Amino acid sequence: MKILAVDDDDMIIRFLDGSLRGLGYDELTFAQSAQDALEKIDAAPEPFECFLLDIMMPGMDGIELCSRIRSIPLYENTPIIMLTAVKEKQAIHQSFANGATDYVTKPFDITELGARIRVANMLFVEQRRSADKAFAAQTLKSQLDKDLSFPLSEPVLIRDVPGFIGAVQLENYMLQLSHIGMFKSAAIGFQINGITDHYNRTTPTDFFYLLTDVADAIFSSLDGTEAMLSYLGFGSYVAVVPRVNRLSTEEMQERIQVTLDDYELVDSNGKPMPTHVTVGPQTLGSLFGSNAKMILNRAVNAAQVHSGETALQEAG
Amino acid sequence: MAHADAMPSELSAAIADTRARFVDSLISTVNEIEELKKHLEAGPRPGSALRELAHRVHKIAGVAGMTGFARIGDMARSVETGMNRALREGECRPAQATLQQLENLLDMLEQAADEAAF
Repeated sequence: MKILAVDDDDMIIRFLDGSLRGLGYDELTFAQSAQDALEKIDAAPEPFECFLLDIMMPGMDGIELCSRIRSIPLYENTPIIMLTAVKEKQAIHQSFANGATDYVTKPFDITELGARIRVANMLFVEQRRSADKAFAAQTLKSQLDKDLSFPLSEPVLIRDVPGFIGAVQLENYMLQLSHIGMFKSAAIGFQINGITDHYNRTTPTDFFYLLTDVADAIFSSLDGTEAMLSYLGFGSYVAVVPRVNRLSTEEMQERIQVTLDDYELVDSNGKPMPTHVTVGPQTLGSLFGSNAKMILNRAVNAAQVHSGETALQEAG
Repeated sequence: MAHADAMPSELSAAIADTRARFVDSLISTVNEIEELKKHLEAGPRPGSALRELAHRVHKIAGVAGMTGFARIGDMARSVETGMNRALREGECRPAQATLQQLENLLDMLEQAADEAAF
């Protein structure tokens, strides 16, 4: 696995060099600044398969570097693990918002870092499969439609919607907030009504665009609230927002509907695609016994119950 | 791909090497911090000295905990938090409590250097 690690601290570079080799990762490249990293990325004969980025570096910081790497099409799904002593919520939020896959705080246990790299790599392989389809859907459109079908359960990655991240990244994001004792977040589920009908009646391309438009409409309903959104398949979305917010379920539902009506959604044959989204109640993590995945699932289930789509996942 | 338990000696060698480098750097780190502290107290650009100090302490917080100096790492993190708070609030100098923590950190670094010497 080809890894590029970026840190301005020579001691950390040497530590990673020795310990990652000890874990069996021997295709290592190191950079001591963001600029150095970008030059090495540009000159790499073969693409890197994982990035480890420090945040606090002189000049361009690791978050900006993360965003720059993500903007390179070749690396739009490659795991980027932030490896940093910064434990502030804003840094965690900005990292995930700019495309980080995971966030590991120093001091870290090297075997845990190895495990996180392995998990990120597994996710990369899975996402690449999904993203290849989504990218093809965006660019090749109808001529390949029949070959591009993805199951209703597919947690499709949506591009070009700021704050939209993969489901695993969303879990990692919540996990990091809880690690720094900032678990003051709430989750909100959103469910496209009649998703099975939409899925059966539209081409994969049209369905993908529908998912993208709904993601856009959901963001517009959040009214500038600092949020992360993910699509989990089956027409279900989940957003993580600050626990203290001014969002009302009814207002959000109304705003989403207004936005979708404004979009006047039609399929590639010009046929209208009337779309309605149900917003679930906000789900708060309790101090005892709740983990990130449970909270996200509860939020999604609540939206499904409200929309009457409860049997979806069993049926799918 | 090999797993962690396949090559424990390489791992422990990497940790031991980093620890040795950290220990070797302790005196120069103390000197650097003392110099920055002088600039913070009486230099023409205390804000710049504070930013440099925060960055230096941030680096200590990152490495110390991984090399068996958890208390130093925790203290460095507390100092960094106090310095970042001052920077966010547009102050050129941190609160007195943060300066006291910085003194404690320097004492801990010196003590670690002394213990390593014997």
